[in-house]
Amino acid sequence: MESAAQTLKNLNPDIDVEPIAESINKQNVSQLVEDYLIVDALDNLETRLALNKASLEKGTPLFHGAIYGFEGRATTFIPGETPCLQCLYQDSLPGDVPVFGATPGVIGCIQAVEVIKYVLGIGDLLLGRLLVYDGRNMKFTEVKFSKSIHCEACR
Amino acid sequence: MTITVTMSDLLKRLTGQSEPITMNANTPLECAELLVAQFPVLEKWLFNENRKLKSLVWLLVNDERINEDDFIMALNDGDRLHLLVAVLGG
Repeated sequence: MESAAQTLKNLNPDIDVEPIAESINKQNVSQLVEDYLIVDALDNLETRLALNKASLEKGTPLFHGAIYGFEGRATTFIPGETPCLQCLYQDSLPGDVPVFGATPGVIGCIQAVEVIKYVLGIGDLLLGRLLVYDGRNMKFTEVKFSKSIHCEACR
Repeated sequence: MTITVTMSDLLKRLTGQSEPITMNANTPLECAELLVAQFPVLEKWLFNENRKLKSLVWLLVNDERINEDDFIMALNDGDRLHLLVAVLGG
């Protein structure tokens, strides 16, 4: 944790990094998130749903990214304006997730672009649009999605 | 209705079907049933034990994800159905 924080500081000495050695769960998620923008770089549905709940409660944007091998996804959720993460995901592939290191790199950069655009108030965010990255065939496509009337998180 | 069906890379490799498939179906649910008949390996990906469509694989009609209420929506000639797996690794 400390070495990760130091690596980030080395890359950009102008940023403040506060490493927190805790697992995110339903109990502590609200406190950990505080009022910061949320960038979802997790690896499982349960914890992502906890982050989604905190996002909805605080009215804070959630910048979402996910991967599986050479495939990646990214979108931006804004409470009250877009569907939420739980509208989109009720299930995911079980078992270990293969990680090809470049894929989270691609998706992480897209999330960073979304955050910067949001902060600056420029451009079109991925609102109600899921960007789908297919690294094996090097294709980007886009999927539109809408609120689920059955979503228990944001209805 | 004549529908063109495509799959995400993960499902292409699972089924060995890399090219788009043309099929006659009236609803997305019917498409899913025909796909399972053609590729039995998709059964456990698409349907649960009660033969209801799972949310593990999303059905996209003309690039828009449809929710469960739309699984029996009427399709039109020339519609495109795409199967996309919900992935949440990081």
